[in-house]
Amino acid sequence: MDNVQRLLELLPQQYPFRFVDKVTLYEQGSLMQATFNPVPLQPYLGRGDSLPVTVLIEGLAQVAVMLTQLETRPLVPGEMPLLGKVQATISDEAASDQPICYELAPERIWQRQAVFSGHVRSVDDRLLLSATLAVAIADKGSDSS
Amino acid sequence: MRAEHILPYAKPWVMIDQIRELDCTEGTVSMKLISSSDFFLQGHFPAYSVYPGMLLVEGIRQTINCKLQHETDASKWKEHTIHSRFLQPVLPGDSVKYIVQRNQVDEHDAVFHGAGWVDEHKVIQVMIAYRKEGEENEANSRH
Repeated sequence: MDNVQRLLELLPQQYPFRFVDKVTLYEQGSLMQATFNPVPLQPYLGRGDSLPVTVLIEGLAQVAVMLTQLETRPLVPGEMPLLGKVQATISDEAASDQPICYELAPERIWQRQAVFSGHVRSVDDRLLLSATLAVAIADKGSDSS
Repeated sequence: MRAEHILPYAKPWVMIDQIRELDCTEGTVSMKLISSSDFFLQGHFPAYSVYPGMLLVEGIRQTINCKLQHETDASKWKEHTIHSRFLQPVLPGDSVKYIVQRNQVDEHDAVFHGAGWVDEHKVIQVMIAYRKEGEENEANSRH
């Protein structure tokens, strides 16, 4: 489990924009599962009874960032992950005081981009959201030009 | 019009600064100024700043929310589908102009098409479909 937990070190997103706090399962070429407890970030996420749906999608995208690196290679200095495309179907609201669970699987993987599909569930196994995401590795470049 | 006076969210989860137009022919228009001091940029990323694409989607959601609050009980409308494409990174110093147009499918369903622009460059395009809460159940009970 320690090795699985160390996969979080691949994630460049940090507090207060990190929406994954535990990797629970990784099967190479097949699957990643992770969880997020939103309670510590609740004051910054609108203070509503429900989590914003964009937080659920972003969390799934952050799982995709880890999975992309595991299935290709880790990010090197000068690179950053970028979302290319998201198609999400929302099934139910996520309570802002309950953990959520992500599950994501690769559909297609190239050298610097990948497509994943997955879903977000509540701790009592209610389907909250299903999504397909495209993630790319981009060069940071320079903003001096 | 200051968006924080309309939206039902507490700061810092206010992803638009200003509503410029609610009902013009262009649609609903809002603005967001991106700053290095934006709260969430602390973590995206610690050593360099790129405005998160998903917060651009949230900006468009909140622009739609302002439009719905203006004309009806916004809480009755629930989103069920979001499609988004991220076209260019947005950086501190950019001003994002969101333009959202509504295509009313029928009394119970509405589809919003939105885009974010930095100067003349489109940085994001989004489609969000909404359904009026309870309408489906009421429709089912009628059959």
